[in-house]
Amino acid sequence: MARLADLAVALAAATALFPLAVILIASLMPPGLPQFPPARPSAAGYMEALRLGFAQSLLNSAIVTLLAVAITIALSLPTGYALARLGFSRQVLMASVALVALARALPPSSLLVAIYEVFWRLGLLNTLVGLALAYQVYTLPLGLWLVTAFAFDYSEEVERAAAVDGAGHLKRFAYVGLPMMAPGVAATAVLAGIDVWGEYFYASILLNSPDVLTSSVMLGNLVTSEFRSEWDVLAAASLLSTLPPLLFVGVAARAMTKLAVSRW
Amino acid sequence: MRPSRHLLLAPGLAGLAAYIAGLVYTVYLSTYQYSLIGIGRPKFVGLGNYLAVLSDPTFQTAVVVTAVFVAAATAFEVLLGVLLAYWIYMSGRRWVAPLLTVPLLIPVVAYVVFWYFAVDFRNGVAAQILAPLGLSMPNFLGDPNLALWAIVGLDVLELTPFVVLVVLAGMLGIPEEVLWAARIDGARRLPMAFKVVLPMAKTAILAALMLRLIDAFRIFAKVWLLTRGGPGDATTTLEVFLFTRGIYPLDIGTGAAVSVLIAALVSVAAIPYVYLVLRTWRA
Repeated sequence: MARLADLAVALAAATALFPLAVILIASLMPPGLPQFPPARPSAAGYMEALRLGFAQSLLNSAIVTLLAVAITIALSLPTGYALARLGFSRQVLMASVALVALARALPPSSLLVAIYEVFWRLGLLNTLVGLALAYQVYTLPLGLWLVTAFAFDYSEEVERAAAVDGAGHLKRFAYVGLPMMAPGVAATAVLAGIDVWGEYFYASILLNSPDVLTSSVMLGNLVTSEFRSEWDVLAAASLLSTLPPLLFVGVAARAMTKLAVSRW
Repeated sequence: MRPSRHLLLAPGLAGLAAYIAGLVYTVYLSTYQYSLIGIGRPKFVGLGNYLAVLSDPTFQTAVVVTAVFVAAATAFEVLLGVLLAYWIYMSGRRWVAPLLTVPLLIPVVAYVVFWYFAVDFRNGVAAQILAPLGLSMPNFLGDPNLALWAIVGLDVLELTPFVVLVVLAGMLGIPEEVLWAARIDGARRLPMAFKVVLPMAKTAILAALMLRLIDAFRIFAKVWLLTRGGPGDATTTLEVFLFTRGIYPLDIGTGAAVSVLIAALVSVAAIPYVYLVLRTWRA
């Protein structure tokens, strides 16, 4: 039994880490020599990825991600707090939960054509601001979901004490709600950010000029270009676009189990 | 009544209202013959776009391909995930949990690059390992009978850890006393699994299943970058069809009709999901 369990743990860990390891090793292969693992590691793949402008695409990804997350937090924080703490009726809460669950369950593809048509008319196609707005389809349901769950978490007594002291709703939100929810909000921001950092479908359709591409779109373009067999460049660019989200592995691990299990 | 309460409630709900408005607008657009590059005004055609899409053999293929992908990927991921989670749980090695989030942090395009290199039949990792043994790697992505399964394989590799993570969290919520009681009663390995651990983790297992089911319909990047929907139409999923027939030719009417059909198909999984979520919140 112990052996079998060891095997399962090893298998799970290997499944999770093997692709990353392959990308790391492949990124060190010398150009034009796809020998794996490389006999003589080389940084040429990274140099080539940067020469092609990959740094700019990473910056674009960062801008879109921060903007999308900021909009989501600004919209979901007051609403989550109000739903959990300001004595709205059960019907209001359940109707909101149903809407959030529905928005989370329907695929982003069902809104893409409408977004494309509206952006076409407003001139928002091919802009980072437009993409960050479109990303609300992904991040807003997630944000409302998590912030509401976190807003239910802390003790009722703190709220009551503030109410007894005569604090109004806005004051209570600012002085009680915000500080109590801060850790949950940080976790929400990280998860929402991870959700859109590597997004490809919307980004590849809504962006097209080289200077605004996110790292996922640029990498996708490399995969389908004349670089399709330059494994060292592809792997180096993959690793570069993986590092920023990887920094948040600790926060993500805690928040993801909460997202999935706590009332789904 | 204090208006400030409603002021705080409003922003997120306004966002959701925009979401619903987007769906309604999509339905509206789907009844027009409307191209962004055509000349002349959009023309009302009623259900014309739907009839055209539904009678398109490629659309019918896309429905089948998507259904096969969703069923196969979800089944493999949940079965493997529950099995691995149970073993990890019984072994007590919880430290592995944070590692399981790593695949969820890696951009999907990086996973595509990995898979592309791993299974490439000329110079890929598997091909290089097999070559000294005198074996060669089949061209998975170029074979109409295998290409879809190569994409299912990538999905299973990427997302099984997510199922393990969720199910393991559910199992770790089982009170220790229950396990002790079962052990004292002499529960052996299999009864322990099927009568104690799995039933008590069933909410988490159901959650993992529903979340995978919903998410599996969103299959664009892997297919588009690995096979472009080919060879032929062998891997054309609904989202690839939406792109090639609606968005790429800027045919808004057809694209909107395809979007509505996708939403209707996903409702088969989405509506039970909403129902289950509401039931959990009511408790």
